[in-house]
Amino acid sequence: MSSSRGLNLTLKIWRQPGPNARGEFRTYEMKNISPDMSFLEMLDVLNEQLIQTSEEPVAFDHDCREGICGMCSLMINGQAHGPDRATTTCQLHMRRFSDGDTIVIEPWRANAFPVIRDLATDRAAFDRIITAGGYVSVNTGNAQDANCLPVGRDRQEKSMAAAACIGCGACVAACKNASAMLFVSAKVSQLALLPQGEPERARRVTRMVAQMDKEGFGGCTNTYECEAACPAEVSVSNIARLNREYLRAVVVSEEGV
Amino acid sequence: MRWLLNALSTSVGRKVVLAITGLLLCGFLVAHLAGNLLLYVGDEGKSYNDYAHALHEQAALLAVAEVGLFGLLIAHIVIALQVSAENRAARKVGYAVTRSKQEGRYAAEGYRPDTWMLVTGILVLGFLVLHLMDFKMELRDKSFYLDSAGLDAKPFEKAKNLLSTSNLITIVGYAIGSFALLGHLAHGFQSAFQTLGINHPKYTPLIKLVGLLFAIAIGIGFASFPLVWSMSH
Repeated sequence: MSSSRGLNLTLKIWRQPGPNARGEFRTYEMKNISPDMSFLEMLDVLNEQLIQTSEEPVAFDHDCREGICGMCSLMINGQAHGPDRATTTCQLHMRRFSDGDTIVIEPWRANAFPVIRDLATDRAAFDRIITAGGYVSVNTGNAQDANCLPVGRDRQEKSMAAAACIGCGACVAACKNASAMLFVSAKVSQLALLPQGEPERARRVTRMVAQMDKEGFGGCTNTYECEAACPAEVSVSNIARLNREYLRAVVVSEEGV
Repeated sequence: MRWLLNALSTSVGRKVVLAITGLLLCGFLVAHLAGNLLLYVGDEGKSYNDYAHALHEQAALLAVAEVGLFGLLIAHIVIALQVSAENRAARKVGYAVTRSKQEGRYAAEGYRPDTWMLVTGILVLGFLVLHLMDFKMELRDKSFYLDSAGLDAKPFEKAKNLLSTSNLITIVGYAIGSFALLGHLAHGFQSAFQTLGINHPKYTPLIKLVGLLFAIAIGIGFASFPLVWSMSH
């Protein structure tokens, strides 16, 4: 597994001191990088070096470093979360690269995800979409019996697959339209498939779509790049469900009269 | 009716209108191609002329159909242009490098029909304008609309004149337009179903296959008139 040979790499990293500052690519040479390092560890090494030379370290988002929190991002050589499918940047390892490679690292690009600094972007637009309708109203009181709401196995599975979305924004980053449809469809689907989501069903989808539009994301043109980029492998069939839920809310429900 | 206008102005609502108008226009393509295929009946244009005359006798019906088709087309074009502009504007600062993660897509980057919807759409619109100038408004050279005796040409004769090899603008324009239509339908047909919320493990593979075959049939069908039929007349 481990290799004693270190990698020599050229990194081209987007540096931008602040939200409104002009940004540019800066090139850094990395010597003897262990192939067993994760991509973020490699950036940690770079930042150590930068601190020693009194250059500002590169700002990048990260938290759990085990692929579940959705904080890490990075467009690596034009691919969200790097070259592997179903992988977040923190799970990407340097053995995926070869000695002498040049790696271009950019932040997520979308008007709705403004750059805060360097590679870190503001993804609060997603939080505002969730606030608009991605919740269920739960009455207080004793917990119900676990089996009093029968939910078929297939529905559970589908809901769980949609709920696997970690909200990282790779779908937006990879989409040529910077569309958030895969994210919103996952958040709508996970609740639309369950009885717990029923009371707010129509309101949820109309409000979340309205908020999505307000945030300035693009629209879906069914190119499905989002699905390929998604580290949680959320399916585009959820986008069809979102469209269905939306039509149902508009045509059938009394929501928005 | 405010709720309807609100719904139709959202990103999802507008795509639904785009999908419905697109599919209805597909219905028109089928009817139009079926009528045109009568050109291939080897009876010196009798079937085609009969069909054209029967169609034009239904003046009221034709007027309603034309207004309807024009409305569908305008809605489709206006929404498509609006959506395209918004989608482009959603990422003001672009990437230095982009590479697809879809299997097989990287190799086919730039050749996939979904990348070219705006371009193929504009080419089809150009083809349509030329076609209406040729056949409907009769704005081209006067000689195209006269038969050998100098009288008003019958529909078959008119088609023969306009699609003659000496009229390269029409031949080339129609061929390009037909293949652009093929490309446009190759993505548009199946994409419309996804937009309307129809994605099902049983039917989606079928819809994609039917969409591709439909695109090929319509594209090759219309391209055959300038490329095959015109040569044999």
